[in-house]
Amino acid sequence: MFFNFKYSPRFEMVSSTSPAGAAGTIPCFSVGGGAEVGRRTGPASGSRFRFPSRVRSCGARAIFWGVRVDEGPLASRCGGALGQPARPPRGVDGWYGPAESRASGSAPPLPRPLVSEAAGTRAEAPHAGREASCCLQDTMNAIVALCHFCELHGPRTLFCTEVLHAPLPQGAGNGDSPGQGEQAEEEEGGIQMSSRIRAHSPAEGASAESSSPGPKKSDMCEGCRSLAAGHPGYISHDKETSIKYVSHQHPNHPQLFSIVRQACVRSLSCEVCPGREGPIFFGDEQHGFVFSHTFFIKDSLARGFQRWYSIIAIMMDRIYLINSWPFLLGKIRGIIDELQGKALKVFEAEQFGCPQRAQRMNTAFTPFLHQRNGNAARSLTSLTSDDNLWACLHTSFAWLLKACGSRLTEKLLEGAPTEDTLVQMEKLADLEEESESWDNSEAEEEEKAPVLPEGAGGRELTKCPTESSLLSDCANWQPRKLSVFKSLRHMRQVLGAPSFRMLAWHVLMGNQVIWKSRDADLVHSAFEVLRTMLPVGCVRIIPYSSQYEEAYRCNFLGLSPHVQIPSHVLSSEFAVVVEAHTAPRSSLHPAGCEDDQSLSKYEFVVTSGSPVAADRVGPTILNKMEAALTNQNLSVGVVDQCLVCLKEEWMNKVKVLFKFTKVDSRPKEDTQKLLSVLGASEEDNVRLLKFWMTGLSKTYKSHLMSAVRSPTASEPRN
Amino acid sequence: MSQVLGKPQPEDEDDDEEDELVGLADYGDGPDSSDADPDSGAEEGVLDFSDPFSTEVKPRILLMGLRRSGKSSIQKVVFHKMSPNETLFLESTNKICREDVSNSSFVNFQIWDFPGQIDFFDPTFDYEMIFRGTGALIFVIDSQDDYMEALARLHLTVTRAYKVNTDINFEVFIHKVDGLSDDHKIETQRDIHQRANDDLADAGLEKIHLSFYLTSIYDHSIFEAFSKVVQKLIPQLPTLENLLNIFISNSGIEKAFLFDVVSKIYIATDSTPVDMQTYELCCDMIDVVIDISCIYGLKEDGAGTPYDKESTAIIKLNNTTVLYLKEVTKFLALVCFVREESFERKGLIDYNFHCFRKAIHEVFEVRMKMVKSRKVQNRLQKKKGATPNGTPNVLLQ
Repeated sequence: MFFNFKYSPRFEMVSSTSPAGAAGTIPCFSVGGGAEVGRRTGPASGSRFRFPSRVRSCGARAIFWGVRVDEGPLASRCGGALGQPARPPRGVDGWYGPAESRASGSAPPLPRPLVSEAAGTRAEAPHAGREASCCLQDTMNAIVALCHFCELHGPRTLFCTEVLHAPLPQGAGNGDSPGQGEQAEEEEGGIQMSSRIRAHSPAEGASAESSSPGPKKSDMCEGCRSLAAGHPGYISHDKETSIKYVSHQHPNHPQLFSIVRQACVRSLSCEVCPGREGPIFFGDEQHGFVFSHTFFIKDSLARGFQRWYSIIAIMMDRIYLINSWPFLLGKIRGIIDELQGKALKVFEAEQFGCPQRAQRMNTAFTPFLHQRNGNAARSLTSLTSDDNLWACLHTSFAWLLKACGSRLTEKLLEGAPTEDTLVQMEKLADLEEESESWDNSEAEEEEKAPVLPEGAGGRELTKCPTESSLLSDCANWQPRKLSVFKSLRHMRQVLGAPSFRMLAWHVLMGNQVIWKSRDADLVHSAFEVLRTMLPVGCVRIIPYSSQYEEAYRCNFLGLSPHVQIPSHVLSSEFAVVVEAHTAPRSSLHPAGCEDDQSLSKYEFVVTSGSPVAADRVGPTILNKMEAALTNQNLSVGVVDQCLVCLKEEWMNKVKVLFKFTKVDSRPKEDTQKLLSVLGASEEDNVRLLKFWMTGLSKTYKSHLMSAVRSPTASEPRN
Repeated sequence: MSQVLGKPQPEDEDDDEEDELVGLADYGDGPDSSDADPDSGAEEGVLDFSDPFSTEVKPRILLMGLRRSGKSSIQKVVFHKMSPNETLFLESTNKICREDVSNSSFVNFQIWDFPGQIDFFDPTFDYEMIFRGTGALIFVIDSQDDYMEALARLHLTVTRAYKVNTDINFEVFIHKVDGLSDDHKIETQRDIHQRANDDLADAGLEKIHLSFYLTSIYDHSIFEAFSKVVQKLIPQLPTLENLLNIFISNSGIEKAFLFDVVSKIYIATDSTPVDMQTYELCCDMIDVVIDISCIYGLKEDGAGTPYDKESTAIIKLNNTTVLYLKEVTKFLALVCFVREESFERKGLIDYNFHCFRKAIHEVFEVRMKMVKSRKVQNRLQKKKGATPNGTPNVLLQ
């Protein structure tokens, strides 16, 4: 194995005697699956938002909103296996509920933007593999191939591994076990490599054999052949995702064949790294984009004592490929080092036995030594003296495809990303930068690894955005007990409407919210619920602390009961304290719900330095939220969505206000007029807007700031 | 001097040039240059125009042939001074290797060494672009091998190339003849000549002229053959030959070569027939001169060049022949064969050489002026008037 292989694969060499042209099944999948996915991609691929969150400084630059129309026909044409199928990744659960539910249904009528998201160090994390497929099931749609400049025949593809999606892309369940009757192996996780390729019908097998686009057998020498003539290839099943990794000498699909062939020729004969060995990137929209790494393998019988090889990764998605560059480079370099090391040993042994240099000098003038077809071609297997070479390469390539695909995930979004998304991405990028600067030591990765898989841990979590748990300081938190708040409505019921209103008012105004309780989980759940009222950028949580933290550090603070809160805070109107006392059963709150059992043992007291909150009109958004919460006809999901909309509405007002005041610096009267236009002239609303302004994404702010320097913006002043 | 004017008209040249520039850009984009971005071509063109020498049309010499026929070896031996034995350890060429040979003021060309394994007539390659700016196509055939396949490829290559560009000189190197006996050599050449021309006749392309050379990297035949290939690409060749003729007849010199010192290609000689041994002697003399001046001619810190204005050498052979070498330009040397009795009048020879040298420089000046005026012309987008002309001084009797 070339690098830590995480899937405990099982090796089963394919027996070449398997009936009915075993290789025949593969084109069947390739075509069937490909066409299927391609069709699905069709309507969607026309306009996709691509968000390379790996590109650091990216944020929401202008290009971010660009629609990649150019890809439309292409993706649907040969996108079957190469183009990114717009398959909804499961990981999006709960991100935007309705989007997900629609996506998993029939093909959506609307173009849907995709946003890719970095999944951090997932791929490197040694045990992430299994969980990975739960939330990140989409694989990189690429082909990895080993190519060789044959002494006799020029550039040749030796071995290539492609990704085949199951015929039913979203068939999560037993049905997806590609109809191959391998249910017995279902319980074993991870990728399995097996030989059991069964032809669906003999006819398919036969047709595939004849239509195979590879060069004729007579044109093949030892050097440009990897698998023996009757060898049906290798296949690995990834059970969780029902994706197959299939390795062959040539791709069977004619279109793929020509793409791979083209890339192979270019990687060896045209786009060669000036420093001889090394990585290079080339390609175009039509023939795909290629990451190519050329290298030499020592061969004592070759001209120049070495042979040219290259490992190429072909993808239709340029941005994805470029973002994967460091990863691909590292891993492919690892494979190459392994191959070169083996070959060097063989070379040295051969040179020791019979120094070729001297021999060639001596025989130089003997006529007919330069026989054209002499020992010109030796197979890579013999050059490395490794009989399992192709099986190893298969696992390496399959792993590469899987791991590379898991590094970056595309997410489905309905419409343009919200301000929250942008802020989250910025935070994620910061987080990533931080973790990378930690010199990604092993131990550190181990620690970080579990962070992501838990995002999909359970149904409860789908209520709060997956990444919020990732981003908050308490990412490892999981509800262990039942004594937690489940939703805003639930909290409202427990606290009672007046207390809840007061609490919500403080939350929205950006005042410090302090919860005192012995139960950290309870506090945590409360914060998780309350934070949904605010834009992500405005939330600063200290989940549970043993001492008081100042308001500028956090607006949500959890404390244990014995901690002393300074008196000025207690009397301040900019703070609210919620104390959860263990209460006798008799003092039950007016909770009608049966699932409040666990919370009934608490009594909540909401106090604040300012009693004014109750009789004020309050910010408009609070009233609307309350209305939504009170309306029992609305389900929890709808209320969540409603909150998202309300937040977005007010964030837009914030943006306008920001531009108006901070960027254009208009006089006060104008601002007042603007506020009344916005329907936010009341004091509470103004306060709310000012607080929310702190939650704007950095990129948006800097974008506005830089935009205003342009002549068009400064003209009015002149 | 009218020969100097015999060059193609400026407009044509400009056209060629543009073609070539675009062609280069195309090639840079690799095999699918058909979908190359036209912008990139324009960009490269603009870049190239900033180079003072780029306005010169650089003819292209293609080295083609089957794999392992010796293309890269030829290139390495002729232009890189590689020892013939070392070529055994060359690795196979995997991409087109382009090399500019522009050290000599007359000989300005590009050598394109092709990998024999790749079929450039594949639709993914733009072979039209390859042949469009080509001056000479050298097809290398391994004479020690069965050459039937090579002949088939030769025919295909020549016919395709001719379709694109009728001005290409087709040169066939029957290579590696060092392994053949003299009779066998003649027989092989005759056979290849016969078959290749028959193939062309069958295709109705008799008008294509193929030149055949027997070559080997182990002797001087490869240099001689390459010299002849290069000479055909020098538009000033008749002038140079004429000058040499006047020079030797007036100085009592038997034979004179104008050599490119670095590659040992002779770019011109007088019209008396060339004897292989004479040529080899000249080559050896250049080697001796350069080697000696490399050892003793350089300053202590290694500064200076082994070949400069003062370079001159006289070697007297015991068969009453004198070899006389003198510097003509930075890159060119004149090597003459003189009878001992004629060499007594060395003062006359030197004076005539002085005139000859001046005349050669004038030929260059004409060329440089043309280059410059073409540049100005390009800039002004104006049609050019008469070509500046110059006549060499009348040589003394």
